[in-house]
Amino acid sequence: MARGGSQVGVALPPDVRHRGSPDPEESLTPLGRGAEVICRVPGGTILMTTVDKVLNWGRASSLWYLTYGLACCAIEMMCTAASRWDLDRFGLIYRGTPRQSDLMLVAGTVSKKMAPVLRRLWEQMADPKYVIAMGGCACEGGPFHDSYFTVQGVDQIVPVDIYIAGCPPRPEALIDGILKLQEKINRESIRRAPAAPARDA
Amino acid sequence: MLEKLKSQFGDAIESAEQIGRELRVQIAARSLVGAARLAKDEGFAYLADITAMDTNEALRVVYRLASLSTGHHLVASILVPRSGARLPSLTPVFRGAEWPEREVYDMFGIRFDGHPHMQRILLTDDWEGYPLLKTWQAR
Repeated sequence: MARGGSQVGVALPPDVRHRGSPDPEESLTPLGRGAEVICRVPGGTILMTTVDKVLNWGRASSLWYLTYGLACCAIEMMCTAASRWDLDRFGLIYRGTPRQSDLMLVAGTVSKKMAPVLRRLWEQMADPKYVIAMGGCACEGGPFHDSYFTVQGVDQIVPVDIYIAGCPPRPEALIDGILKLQEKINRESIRRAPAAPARDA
Repeated sequence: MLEKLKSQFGDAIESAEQIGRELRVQIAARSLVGAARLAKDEGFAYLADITAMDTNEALRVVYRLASLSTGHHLVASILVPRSGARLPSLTPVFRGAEWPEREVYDMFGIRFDGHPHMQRILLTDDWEGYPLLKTWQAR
């Protein structure tokens, strides 16, 4: 049974009720990957869950990311998205427009000339939106620390959710950062939604 | 090539040496465009790069030309004062000199006369100072 929050019943098509265990003594059965998300009433056609869990499930499981490849980190990002590491299995796919993106993946060195462009693209993304700073440059300037034309961390322009160290980080590190972001999203609640960021931070 | 340069520009050739397939000359600024035309006619038709360095006493602007048929390189350098320096632009001879010259201006503040767009190229337009000068302070 879902705990807390308002509860939502989801009607299932008739054929679904015959799937899984027919045991009437069975308690509310978690379904598949939605173990923490959806519980099925035994023998019935009703699923019980909370708004928070369904929303977070959807948000965390279909992060479309705006690729912001600026340097060598972008090669690792492309590699992670390609068939060997296959980001698609986590529900992440490239989206080349900020309007339909949930996540901005800043991979590389942000120059001061690029900074206003990056800020504008972030502003064009619809809420809720998340930012991952991938690699040393995006986190704090990296090897370009104290450089005359490198932004010393992308968090000086946009709020960052996850920092991934490395120069560049391996695909495993990027995947780990994405899983951490999904955990973070799953802890969110509409009752304590983060305040909308100031428009001119 | 060196003989032709010497015969045409004489004392404008301040020093010259050949190392392997690379000919290094130091020339006076007044002969720059003429020497570039001669080099282009002689087969050094590829302008590989224009850059500069700060030697503390002066700025050394380096032009690197290559002959794609023979594989020879011609490296011409010019000494200019550290501030307020001006040089003739090579864009009438080599169209590809446009961006490297802008970059040299961007980083060292050397202006090129006759250049079609003598503006900053990598840094923002409101940037102050020339960051590759050794006198430039980061903070």
